[in-house]
Amino acid sequence: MDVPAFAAGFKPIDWAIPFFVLLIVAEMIFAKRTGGARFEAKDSAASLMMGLGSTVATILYGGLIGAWLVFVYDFRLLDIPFAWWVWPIALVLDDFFYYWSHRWAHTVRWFWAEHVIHHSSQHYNLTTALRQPWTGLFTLKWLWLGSAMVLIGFHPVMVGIVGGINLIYQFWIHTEAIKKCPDWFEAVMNTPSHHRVHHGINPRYLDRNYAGIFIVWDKMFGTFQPELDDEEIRYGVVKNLGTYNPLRIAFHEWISIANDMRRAGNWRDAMMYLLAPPGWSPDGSRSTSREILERWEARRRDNAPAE
Amino acid sequence: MLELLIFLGSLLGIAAMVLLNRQLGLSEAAEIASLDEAVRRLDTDQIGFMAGPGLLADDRRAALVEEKGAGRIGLLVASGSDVVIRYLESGAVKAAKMGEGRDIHLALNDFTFAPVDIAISDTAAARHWADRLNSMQG
Repeated sequence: MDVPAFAAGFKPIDWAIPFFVLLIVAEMIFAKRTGGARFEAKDSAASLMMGLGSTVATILYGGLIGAWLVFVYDFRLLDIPFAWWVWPIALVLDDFFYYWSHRWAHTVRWFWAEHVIHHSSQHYNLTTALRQPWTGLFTLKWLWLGSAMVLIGFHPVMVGIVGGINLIYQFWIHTEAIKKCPDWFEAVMNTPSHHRVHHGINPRYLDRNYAGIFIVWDKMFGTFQPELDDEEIRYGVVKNLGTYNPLRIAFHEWISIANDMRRAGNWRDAMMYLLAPPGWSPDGSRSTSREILERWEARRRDNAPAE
Repeated sequence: MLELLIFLGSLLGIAAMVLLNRQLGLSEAAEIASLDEAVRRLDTDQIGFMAGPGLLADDRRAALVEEKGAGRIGLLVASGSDVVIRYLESGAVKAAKMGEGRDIHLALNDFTFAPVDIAISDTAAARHWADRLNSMQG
């Protein structure tokens, strides 16, 4: 199928980068004038370096993934054209797949090893949006989940463009500067408020709000949690990093998994370290998100005044 | 060549944004106000942390708190404008050395946690905690 001239070689993220920079500067000035956003210079440096490294990594292995998608396209189920009405459908479908990819990135440690990088800042500002992983290749998700739309019949170029638009949308929601959007927007779209919850490590915020663009997926699949006025958000990961070194940030969870698997007493435990939710351990000495929430709920019940 | 120029330009852009961040004075070094605050943070972080005796560093940039019954030590260290927590068990400590002054230089077997100096003016307390930490070497 011929790719239309406007789509060939179009990389939406490249066009968005100048706006990213301008918005980060604007948020810093906002933070200075109002105190309504938090920054830490070393943390911002680390986040921005992770973003640059992610871009370099994508250039290095992007050709391989692109070649795979072209190969898969030969086996497509449908011939979907580049018609104008296909674009919104592709955007919504891509967001649906994003939801599940993102959800599994939080619930399977193999995939978490890549995604944890994005959550490894204790700050929540626009630089956090650019704190991106370098190791997407290692998850192998591109072999199956990342190829699903192409197998259906969407052209790889279209899939690349709507995927880029999805990521661009998610940039602006990484901020504390915007408290709430209009109700109708909060009901349908992913917003700064919803995504702050996603980055929270408060027990009742853990593993919630996986949406990319449309928050409706979380409402449909039971993972939605609104931001609560009486619950100040703590950002980061359950075991926060004590380093700003980009190399350590990029690879720490992979190394941790390798060490756990090496020390595992048997094959089953070794595989569970890789495939079970983050925090799983054979002796229960660590805690998964679910276990943390259960402990928190138990204590809340214990502390509740008797009726 | 173009890619290299873009890469170098990106590095310059990052440096400029970080410099602006610094110039605006947006970050404030984290402090642990008191030992009670350290215990509160540990209890929030690890629901049900049963605090025993503890120590707050002179500069309020670190704290050590024993956990009753569990044999662990809760370690809190200010890192930039944030506080990072670790729960130290047997094998967690690489070395805890007394410095020239009375500081403890603590290194963990955790490559995501940079070595830290814990400022303690009380020599006996410093010695006690250094010994306690060294008992957790692996």
